[in-house]
Amino acid sequence: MLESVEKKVEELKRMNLEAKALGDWQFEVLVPRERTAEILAYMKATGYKTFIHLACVDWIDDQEFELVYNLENYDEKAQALVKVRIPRNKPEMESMMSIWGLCQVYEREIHEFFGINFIGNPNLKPFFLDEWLDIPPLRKDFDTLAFSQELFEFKEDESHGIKAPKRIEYK
Amino acid sequence: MSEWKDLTNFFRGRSFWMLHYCTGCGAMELPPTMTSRWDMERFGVIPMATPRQADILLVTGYLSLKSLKRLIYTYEQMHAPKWVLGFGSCTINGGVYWDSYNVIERLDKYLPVDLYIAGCMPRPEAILDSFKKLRELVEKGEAKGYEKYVKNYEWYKANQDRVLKRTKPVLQKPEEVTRSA
Repeated sequence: MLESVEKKVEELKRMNLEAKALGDWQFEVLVPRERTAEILAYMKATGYKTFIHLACVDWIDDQEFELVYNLENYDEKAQALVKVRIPRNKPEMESMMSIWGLCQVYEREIHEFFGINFIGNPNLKPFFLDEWLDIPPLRKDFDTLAFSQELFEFKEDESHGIKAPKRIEYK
Repeated sequence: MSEWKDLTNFFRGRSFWMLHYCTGCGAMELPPTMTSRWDMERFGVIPMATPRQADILLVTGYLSLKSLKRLIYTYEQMHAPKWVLGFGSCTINGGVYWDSYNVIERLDKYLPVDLYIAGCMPRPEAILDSFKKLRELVEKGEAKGYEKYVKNYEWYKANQDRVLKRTKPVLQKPEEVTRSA
């Protein structure tokens, strides 16, 4: 494991945060929503200058969304995943545009695909999808198969061997 | 008059100009087909930059709703006679995108397809074979997709509008459908 990663994990643990190394050059830290801006600014000031990606995970069984801020330190060749959990029934989050202006497009994308409202982001207009009227498509309770069969008019046809596709259950 | 038609069809079948429009991953198979190893110019097929000068439209793979809109604009700009070739399983039944929310399943609901090439993706040999097959169809005067499109324009237009100009949610009550399994 990189020495700097080990040090950083210890440092974050002293700040009363859950942190653990995920590999030789990567670590994650779980942050409560109120402290996100503080921690991200701290990470930026201590080497993790580059914001790479903002991802979102829909943990439907926990009724929570998880936002993952992916940061990189190119001097040490290390990566940090800053994870924030927000409730699913009230999906709201502060915009991090004051720290990285780049967050604007990522937040706009997450808003479109998960329906999370980023407070302080001036432009959350539809981005990729044309004329989307259903619930955001990457939420786990959006049924893509039913949507696809309804919109594209799927019909079973025994004489041509067209059968309804089976849903795959992941466990 | 019929001899004249036979003659024009003979020449049309030997000088397909292909519109250089690539939608999905199948476009990957076109560079080897064009260049020296398979060399489709032997069959009179050359890539052409503008739709108004092209004869055939290759739909190379999956079509998202956004690219379907552009494809229809492009197809309607082409002059008749024009032919559409559907590449691979995505244009036939959706292929691996069978449950995707923004990839269409059957191309011939929206545009008249003259010939499908099976495979995911078809090899250059299959593409050359399809050009040969299309030439036979054109010579016999059987590839009439563009006439079908004009005759059944309302049906095609209704299908296109159904997916491209949605006015209400597709799944009426998302709560009931959710996690039914």
